[in-house]
Amino acid sequence: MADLLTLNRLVVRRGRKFSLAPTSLTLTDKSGIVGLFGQNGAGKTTLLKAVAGLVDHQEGDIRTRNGRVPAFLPDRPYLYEFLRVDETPRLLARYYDDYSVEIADEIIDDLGLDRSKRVAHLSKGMSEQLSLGLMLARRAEVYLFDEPLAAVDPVTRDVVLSLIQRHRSEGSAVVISTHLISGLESLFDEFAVLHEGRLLLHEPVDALMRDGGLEETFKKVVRGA
Amino acid sequence: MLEWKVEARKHARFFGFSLLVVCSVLAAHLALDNTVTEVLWVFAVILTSAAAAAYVAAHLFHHVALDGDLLFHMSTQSAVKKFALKTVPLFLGFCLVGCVTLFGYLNGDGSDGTAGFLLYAYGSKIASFGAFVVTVWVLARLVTRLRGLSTQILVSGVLFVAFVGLQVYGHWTWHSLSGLNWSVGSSTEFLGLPMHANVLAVVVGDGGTEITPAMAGSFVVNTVTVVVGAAAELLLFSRGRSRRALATVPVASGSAV
Repeated sequence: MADLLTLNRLVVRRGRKFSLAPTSLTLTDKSGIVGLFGQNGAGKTTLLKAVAGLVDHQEGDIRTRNGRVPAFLPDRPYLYEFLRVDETPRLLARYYDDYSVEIADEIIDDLGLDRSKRVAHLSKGMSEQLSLGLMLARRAEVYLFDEPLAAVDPVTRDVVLSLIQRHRSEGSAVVISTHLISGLESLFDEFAVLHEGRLLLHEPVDALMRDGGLEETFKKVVRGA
Repeated sequence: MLEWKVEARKHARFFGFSLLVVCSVLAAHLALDNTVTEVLWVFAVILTSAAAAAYVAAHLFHHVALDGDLLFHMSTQSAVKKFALKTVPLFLGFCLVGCVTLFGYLNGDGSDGTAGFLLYAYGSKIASFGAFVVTVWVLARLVTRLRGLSTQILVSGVLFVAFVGLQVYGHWTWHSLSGLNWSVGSSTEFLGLPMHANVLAVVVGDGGTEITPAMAGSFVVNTVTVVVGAAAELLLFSRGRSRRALATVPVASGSAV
């Protein structure tokens, strides 16, 4: 078993307030898909952004194999709208040294997108699917997805989850932050709860399912905090 | 090259439009040469110069201080390449517009400069653009940790005015401007020595058309600003950021980010 990501007492502060209290977490090549749950404002986005190198941390450290930056899907649009769909993976290949244009093209075909269309002309749903799909074409060891399931209909949700399961690198760990639990229990291998900037729980899902399910565990952990 | 083309495309619309405006007005001014086209030309120069400076400053500030352009920030390119990709296209666009506005200044009434002098005028202008781009970048870095956009803008604005004001004062003292006809801002006529306090033109009348040490001083200050600002970004700011993931195993050659 190899450690893919280790957070060692990571601290993010905004002024005098903790956005993230000292947080330690290890993901291995056996972690699979990790659900990161928390209420709005719990610090999920801050944690993921800090790991992705988009927010400064004041204490602790982040370790990955060879210091590679994990693939990160932000919770807001990030693609350049003036580019055509088929231009975007080629640009990303210039931005990331672990990027696979072939896999990106395969994902675009899977989504049935018109390659000659500009990103600006895609529907909101299609644009979100493309954003996620193109980040999956990185051959990363760790993927961080910030709220990829927020405000998507059940059909789109299935498409998104299928993309993640089919196209992520073998042996990689995937962190999906969300506040939706219902209907997603079977997706996750590990379950983490973040509350008011503190990581309260990180356990394999199997044990928690025997103990009343994820939603009950989440409520119990947050109420007991 | 694609990443360079993409950066250029981000600014093509603004600089393309600015060039179109300033070139059209210049062509009309040269063809008709009357009071109306003269006034239009003056306004076009002032407006495009101010708009280009505001555009460049806003774009760099948004990128550096506000972490705008998320995709670019997420990329794993080196700090040197990121700095170059963000600054060079803006600098070149700025130069294109700026050098057209200089045309009227160098070819207006009373222009009798030598080829070397004209070349110096363009060099001085280009150095001033470089200094402006780097100054805005460094100021944006300095205010990144301040809370609130208005505080960030206020502090960086005050620092910029102080930095430029100090240079104007330096030129005043060194060049004895008190005894000469001089003005601050862009000029459309060949009035005298082309000097710059950062991006701000300091136009001196009756100063002759020879390149004096005092005149060269503004070029040197701007060139030094570019070098020091770029060195600060690459050696201090980009390395000092606590955003790097460390390696759990020795970093393989060429694979570190």
